[in-house]
Formats: sequence, C-alpha cells, structure tokens
Amino acid sequence: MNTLWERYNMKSTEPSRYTISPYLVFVLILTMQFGPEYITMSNKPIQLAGQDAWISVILCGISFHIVIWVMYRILDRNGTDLIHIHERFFGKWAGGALNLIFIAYFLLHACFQMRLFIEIIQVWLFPDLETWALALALLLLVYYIVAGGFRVIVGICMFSLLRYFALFTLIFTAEYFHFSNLSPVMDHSLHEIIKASKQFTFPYLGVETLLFCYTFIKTPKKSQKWTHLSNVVITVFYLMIVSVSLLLFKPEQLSTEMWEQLTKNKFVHFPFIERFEYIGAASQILWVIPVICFCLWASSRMVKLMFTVKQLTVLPILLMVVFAAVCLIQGRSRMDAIQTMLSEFGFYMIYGYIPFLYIVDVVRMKARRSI
Amino acid sequence: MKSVPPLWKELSESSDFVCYEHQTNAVSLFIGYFKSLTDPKVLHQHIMGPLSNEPDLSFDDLYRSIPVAEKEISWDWDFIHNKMLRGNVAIQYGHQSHHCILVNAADSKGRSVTIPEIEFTVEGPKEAFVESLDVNLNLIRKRVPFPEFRIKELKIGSISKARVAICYIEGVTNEQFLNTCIQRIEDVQFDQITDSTKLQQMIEDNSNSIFPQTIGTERPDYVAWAVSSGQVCVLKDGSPTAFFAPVSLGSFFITYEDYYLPWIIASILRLIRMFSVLFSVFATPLYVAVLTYHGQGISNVFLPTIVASRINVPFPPVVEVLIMELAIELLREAGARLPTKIGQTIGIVGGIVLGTAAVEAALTSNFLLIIVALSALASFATPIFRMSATIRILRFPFIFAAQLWGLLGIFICTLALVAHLLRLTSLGMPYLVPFYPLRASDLYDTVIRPPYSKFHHRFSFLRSPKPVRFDKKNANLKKDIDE
Repeated sequence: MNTLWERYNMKSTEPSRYTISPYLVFVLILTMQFGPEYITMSNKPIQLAGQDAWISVILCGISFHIVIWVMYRILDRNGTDLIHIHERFFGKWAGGALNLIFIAYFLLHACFQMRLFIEIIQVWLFPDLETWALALALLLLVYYIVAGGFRVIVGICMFSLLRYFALFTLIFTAEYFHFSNLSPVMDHSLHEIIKASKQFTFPYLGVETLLFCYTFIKTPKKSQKWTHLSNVVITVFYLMIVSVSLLLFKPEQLSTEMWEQLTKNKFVHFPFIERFEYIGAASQILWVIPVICFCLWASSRMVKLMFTVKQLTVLPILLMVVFAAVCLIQGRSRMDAIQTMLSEFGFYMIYGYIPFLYIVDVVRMKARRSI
Repeated sequence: MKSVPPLWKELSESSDFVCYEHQTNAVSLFIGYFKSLTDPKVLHQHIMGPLSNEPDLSFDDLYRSIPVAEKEISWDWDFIHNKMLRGNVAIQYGHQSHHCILVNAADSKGRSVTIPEIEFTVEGPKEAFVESLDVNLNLIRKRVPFPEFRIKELKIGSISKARVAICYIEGVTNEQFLNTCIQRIEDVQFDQITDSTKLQQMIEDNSNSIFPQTIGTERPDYVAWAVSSGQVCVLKDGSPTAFFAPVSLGSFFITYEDYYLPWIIASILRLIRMFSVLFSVFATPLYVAVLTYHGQGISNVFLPTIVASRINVPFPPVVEVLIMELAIELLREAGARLPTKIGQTIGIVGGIVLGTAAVEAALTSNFLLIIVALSALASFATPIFRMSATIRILRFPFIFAAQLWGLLGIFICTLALVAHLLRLTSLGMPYLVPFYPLRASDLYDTVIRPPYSKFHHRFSFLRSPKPVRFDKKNANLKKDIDE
C-alpha cells in the first residue's frame, strides 16, 4: 500500500511534457469560470433580489466550493478524468452515452460563446459584419491554438489574464455611485435570494472543466487549493461587478440594459481615448477564445478516447459543426433560449449530477470493501 | 604520370594536386599534396629538409625525423584522401606500400581578429569571431580555461565536409539539450553548408517559423557566458558567427553590453528596448485601425492634429501606411546592399529628402511619417539581426488585420501571435519560458538586468545539473548602520 505522502504526490498519467504545474490550474479555472457571460450577469439576479444580490453572489460562491470539494473527492479516488470514470461506473455504452451528452454540451457552449462574442462585435463595433466571416477567422485561430495541445491552451489562458486590466476601469465609475442603492440590507426573502443565486450558477460555471483535464495536471491532488483559490477570486470579482451595477443603476434602469457591463465602459475617460467601449468590446475576445479552445479540446479529446481516432482529424470536423451552428443561430431570442438551456444544464450538472456521481462512487467503494 | 601511385590517380585529375617521386638510396618515395592547401614553408623546411639530408632512412626513421607535431601513419585510403584534402602532405614509402605518413602542413588564409561590427559595444572586449574555426575556438577557450569545457567536433555536408564544433561544459550543460543538438547536427543531410546560419535554420525546432530559435553571435565573450550558463554553443569552420541554444524569446532583446553597464542603466536600456519592440509592431497597425474605423475613439484634443496633417492625403490610411513602410524597407534594403559609404548617402538622401518630399507631395501625413520612422528605428534596437528582421516583417500581418477589422483584427492577430509563440520550442524548451510556464525564480535576468548578487542561480529552465553559480549567502552580507 502506498504511503499517504506518495498518494498525495501521485503523478499524472499523461507524459510529463504535456502536463501543467498545479498552480496553472488556478489560471485555467479562473479563465474558464470567468467567461464572457459576466457582461450580462448582474441583470436578472438584481431583478429578483434587488440590493441583496450580492448575498446571492456569496452564497453561490460557497456552494461552488462544496462542489469543487466533491469533484476532487471523486477524481482523487479514481485517479482519472470523467471520461474514464463514466465508463468505469456505467459500463461502455451508458458511459459512452453520458460522454456524448458532454460533447454536445461543450460544443453548444462553444457555439454560444462565439455567437455571443460576434453579437457584441456587431452591436458595438461593426454593425455590418458578416457572422460567418468573423466565425471563420475565430475558428481558424481556435484550430491553431487547440492543435498546439493542452499546454498551449493554458498558455492562452495565462495571456488572457491581461484582460483584468479592463476591470480596473470600473474605478472610473466611482464618481457616479449612489450608495443609498445598497440599503436596506436583507430586504428580500431567503427564497428570492436563493432564486437569484440560481441565476448566478451560469457565470460561475467552468469548474466542470477540471473533470476533463484532471490527468493533465502534473500532481493533480496538489491542485485542489488552487481551484478553491480561483473560486475565491472569482467571487471577489463578481461581488465587485454586481456591487458596481447596484451602485450605478436602479433595478428599473438595469432592466432595459442588455449588457450592463459593457455600458459601464462608457464611464471610462482617458486623456486621449474618447470611447473606451471600442477597446472594451474588442477585448472580449480575451474572455471568449480560451473558453472556446478548451471546449473544443475537451470534446475532441472525448471523441478521440471513445472512438479511438486521431484528435487532429476530429478537431476540424467539430470546428465545422460549430461553424455551421454559429451561422444558423440568428436573433436574440434564439441566443436567450440557448443561454437558458445551457444554464439549466449547468445547474443540474453542478448540483445534481456531480453529487450523484459522488454517491455512486461512495456506494461502489463500500460495495467493493464489503466483498 | 606513370610515377603516380595508382591510388592517387583520382586526385591527380585536379591540377592543383602535386605528386612527385623522391628517389632515395633505398627506395623511391612518393610525396603528394594539394598545392592550394599546403604551406610551402612547412613543406620545404620540415618535410623536404630531413628527406634530402639523410638519404638512407627506413620508414620508421623517416616518420620520426619529420619535425612536425601533427603527423600520423595510416593505411586507410579514404582517411588519407580526406586528410590530403585538409592540407596534409602524404608520403608513401615505395610504390607498393600501403602505408602513408601524413604530415599536417595546412595553410589557412583568412582575416585576423577584428572589432565586432554587428554587435559593437562601447564597453567590453572588442574581439569578434573570424572565419577560421581554430582561431574562434582559441577565442572561446581562453575565456573558459576550465577542464570540463568540452569541444566536440563533427563533419557535416556531403560536399562541404565542414568542421562543426559543439562547445559545452560538462556538468553544467544539460545532457538532454546537448544530445538533441548533436543528434540534429549529425542528421543534417545537406551537401554544401557554407555558413552556420544555414545550419541554424536546419536544426531549429520549427523551420517554418519567422522567429529564430537559436541566437547567432559574433562575440566570443557572449558565447563564453552562454556556455557557462548551461547552453550549447555551435561553431562552424568558415563562419564568423557562432550560435547557441536553447534560448527563450526574452534573450533576443538582450545585448551583451547590458552585462557591462551598471545594472540600473542596463535595466532602463533593456526596458526601452522591450517597449520599442511593442511600439514597432503595434504603432502603424493602430494608426490604420484608428483612422479607418475608430476615428471617434480618439479624444477631441488629439483628433484635429491627426486630421489636419492628413487632410491633403488622397489615400486611405492603409495605402498610406504601406507606401511608407515599403519606402523604409526599400531604403534599408538598398543601404544594406551598397558599400558603406554610398549606403550612408542613400540613407540621408532617402531619409531626409524623400521624407520631406513625400509630405509636401501629400503622399503621406507628417504624423504617419513620424510613426513609421520611429517604428523602423525601434525595430533596429533589437540586437540580434534575425530577430530585428522578424520584428520588421511581423507588423505587416497586423496592418492587414487592422485594415480588415480594426481593433478587433489587431486583437485576433495578437492572439495568433501568442499562440504561435506558445507552440514554439528551442531544442525542446518552451520558447516563452520563464513567463510561460512561469518560473518565478528565473525572472531575474529578463525584463531588467539585476545586480550580479542576484545571479546566484543558473536559469532553472536550462535544467543544469549544477544550478548554483555561487553561494547565495556570500552575496547578501547586510550589515547594520555604522557597522
């Protein structure tokens, strides 16, 4: 039997030149959680919970800590990623079907992110831009990054951290704060606050990526603290964003805004830059590209493992699927429908499926011990 | 021709091959050599001298009596041929003998050591490599008088048969990098390798990349520093540039003079250089993006200046930029191809006269002229020539992207560039190290050049078996006030 120390230092099953150091998990999870959906994040919860929306942010953050802990229990015990765990738990066919669902989820997520970004560009920068043209350019970029492998994707995540400079521009809004917007505290019922929390699961989503890249972490068990840290940082950022939304807008005003976070860029003034919105909108690419890359990497990897084909041959096919889907999604209402679908799926995955997996795992362990 | 031994027949097809029979009392000796490769002084004094003075020598006596250190006996005819092609004189003892005495009488003509011209520095030594490998090795060896400093020699090229020397310090250089390097050089199948820059391109990890993955230098002091940091250095006979690997992107923006200047000055100069790279790549694309799409984006204070300066220019910004960029590239290219003195004249005529005339003729705006000239200057601040060429070329895709989608195009292009850099490796080492993968302990000598007390460890990404340069404790002796 291995000693506890050896098990803690368990090495990844992938060749070491493809793996990442545990601290990079912080960068990866931070980038995956903090997707472009943050630009519209504070609207719905504020409609539900008003000035108490910030409590919902914290509640949701705490619940994600628990989910992360549960995820690590499952992964650490099995020592492999969800793709293999599925087959181990539910057999080849049922496990494969579950994997297929996740492939669909990741592809849909990629489509959503890309369509959202193109929509932002069409609204803020180029109203006449053809959807397919930008989609094509972005997907070529995604192909080039994903073909470089997991480490390159994490490198892009690292580079995308530059985007947090854009968050500092929230300082410019400070002179318009209405602190009276925050009181009275705890004015809403617990039910409303929890309902608002449910709305926050969508922006918080992204920790599930860990289930698919677990084997690519050099010493996976050491990475747990970094994932938790990432979740803490995300909570702080989201608190900042939601509080600024609360301080700047009345809920009625906010209900007419679609992307309130981009509207905030209008407050930014530099001596020589008149309209920061352009930079703000274009820099959304730093939020979008890493997530799309990871989605395609994860889904193509799943296809590779399930059907034993080369990832490099699967990738172009999946990219074409995404391309076609992105071109077909037209109009705001479709986007809203997809967002609702994804957020429902994410909600049940985080609070239903992952705990369920944990229970299955525990039962399996108990059963095996009793034999 | 009858007297030529049969095995030398092939060589005597060439008119610079000399072969004659030297009759002694006992036997006739055949002496063969290439006139174009041998030093007549050695031949006459040290070979012909003993032969004529003592006519009755046996084979062994003859061998002993030649007063040259580099001599040997061989019966392998391929080896003998090769040696003769490197300036050795072969002496065959008798018509039927299979043994030859080979005496090194090579005469290499070449420049003497001069001042570095590409990487000139105000401070520091002023020796540069020349074409002779032996002189170059001497320049390095005298800077590394260290028993573990090894030189491994290989021959490459089926025609050039060039001598290539791989220098490293055993126990400091990582074996894996060394073996990769040696193996790649051994695998080179090319016929004529005339310069180390050719070899450089052949052994780099990604030869389709615009970025160089090895650093070529003409400074022996730089090579000595690289070797003692744990890098592998390669020299080729006939080439005045040595190159070393593995290297990361950051090291291309370091001039060796940084190490000769006080650290604060050197750091500030280095920061200016890094900024100049960014400026050089992004300045003109941003001009195109802003003036084509985001005119409202600039402040009211700033906009009138730009608009006023290009009010008479009939072209769209991108055409204007391309004209100016091409003009600058043309000037540079013409200046580089012409002899120095004419080149300077062309530079002045082109730079000043054409620039002013272009503005007056409303081909371009003053504002753009300044940006283009500055970014051209900025690209020359990069010390490694191949990298500065890369920087110059790099801005063109950005200009086109900016024309296509403005700021968004620049963002996409930047991401593609970052992805490319992330995918690159140098002898298998990630190109962006120590920034990605982040190695916090190795950040010391990248953006700034800290004082030497901070250099106590070799870069961990070079994975040296002996990572400690000196004891850290001795570096930080801090005393209290008035002690």
